[in-house]
Amino acid sequence: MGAHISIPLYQRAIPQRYRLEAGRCRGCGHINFPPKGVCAACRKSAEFEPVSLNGRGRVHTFTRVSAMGAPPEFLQYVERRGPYWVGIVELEEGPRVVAQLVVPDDRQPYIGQPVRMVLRRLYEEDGVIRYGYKFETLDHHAGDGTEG
Amino acid sequence: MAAIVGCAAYIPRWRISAQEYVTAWGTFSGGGVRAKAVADADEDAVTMGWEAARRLLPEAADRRRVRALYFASTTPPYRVGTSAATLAAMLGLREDVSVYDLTTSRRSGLAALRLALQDASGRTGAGGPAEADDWILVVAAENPAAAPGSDLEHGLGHAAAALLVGSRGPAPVIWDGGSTREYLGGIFLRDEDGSLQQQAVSSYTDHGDETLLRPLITALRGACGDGFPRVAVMLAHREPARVARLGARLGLAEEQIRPCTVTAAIGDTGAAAALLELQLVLETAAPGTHVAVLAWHGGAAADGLALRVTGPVLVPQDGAISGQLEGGAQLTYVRYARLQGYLAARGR
Repeated sequence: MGAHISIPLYQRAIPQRYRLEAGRCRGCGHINFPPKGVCAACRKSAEFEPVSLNGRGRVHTFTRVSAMGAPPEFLQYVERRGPYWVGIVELEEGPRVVAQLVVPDDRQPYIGQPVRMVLRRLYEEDGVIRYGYKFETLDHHAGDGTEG
Repeated sequence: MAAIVGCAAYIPRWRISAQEYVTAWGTFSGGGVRAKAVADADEDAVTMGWEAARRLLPEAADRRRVRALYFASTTPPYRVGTSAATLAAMLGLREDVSVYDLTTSRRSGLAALRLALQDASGRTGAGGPAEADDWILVVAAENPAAAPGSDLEHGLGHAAAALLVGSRGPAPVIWDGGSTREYLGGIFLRDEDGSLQQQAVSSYTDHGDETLLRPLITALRGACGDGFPRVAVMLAHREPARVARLGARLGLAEEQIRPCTVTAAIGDTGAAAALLELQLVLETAAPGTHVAVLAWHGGAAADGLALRVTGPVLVPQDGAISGQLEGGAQLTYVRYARLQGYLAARGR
């Protein structure tokens, strides 16, 4: 099978996918994650200082992706694991990211639930394993079961 | 003297009990394994190894002190590839770090630790004697699979171990050794088979293990002199039920043989097993304790290592084995088979 993965894009994203490397705007101090070409806050500066986010945050909102709704690259995961949770996570440093939620014991997440970054296999493409961040939900006892 | 500085483990939360196998297959062939840990569908040896290493070295500044990484696994995500380099990138190790992949042998976790200790003492490796501030990281991780229903498959568990080695530390090495011979036996995997296999003649396996390990025990006894009876010896056997008998055949006193507590609780984790058993002892060892660990693959090659504990070894709270042995969610056999991909849809 011919590869259609863009090697430059793959390589460039490694610091953010593996280590949550963000860019702090040298103009206004806003933390951009994923790193941007121009600061998303001040829209003036293109100068950034790399910073690693600590991987802790809270569930801002979430949804459940059923087997039929999953993109094809997640088919193998769904076959083994069933429907899965995807959330918007608000990180402690401010940025919000969309990511899969790793939910111990398959209990439903809740809004405001603390999470921490984990590295997992996201999917395989052209035989290449794509590793990247997901967020594991913590502190399940405090949940009120609110739907996202 | 080169020493172990710290250690951390990652054991996945899922468990399947021996009883679930009995319900599904009518029997369980784990040889003393009560339950086993099972990785999630998106975990592999690299992600589990990262989790163990992250717990051991949570601070980026500490990771910059690592000058070499030894990664051991018989289940690397790529048969040919660079798992250790991926792990180094995930951890943010410095760019001049030396990385080594030790694969294909289920004793390679302990072999990696021996090499790291030799590296730290300047006996091998390109870097020469370690600076006082340098560390060497050893990661062993394993998520083995075999044909569903085969006896071999029953005992296989999933986990990762990470150890930090320095030129000095609270658990210095006092002896290490190896033993090698060609032997028909043990576990093997050929590409055309696609699944682990085993020469299953247990009486020969016992004989092979004994013949292989005897020279190591003799060397260990010589290195320890009169103190030998006080050395706690761990035989990292993939079948915990066989440890006592093997130890007796090797002439060890009953009270110096340590049971394979970790393997009994989470299954045979191959390359990671010996390091996990060692960590469990180090978590509670009093200063003055002498401990030896032996790991081998079939009857064909073995490694041995002995340490003297002089102070507390760094074990982060979330990386302690004692808090992870029992695990979380229990799997039914059907759920386990699905998680392992045994029940995946075909013909798509």
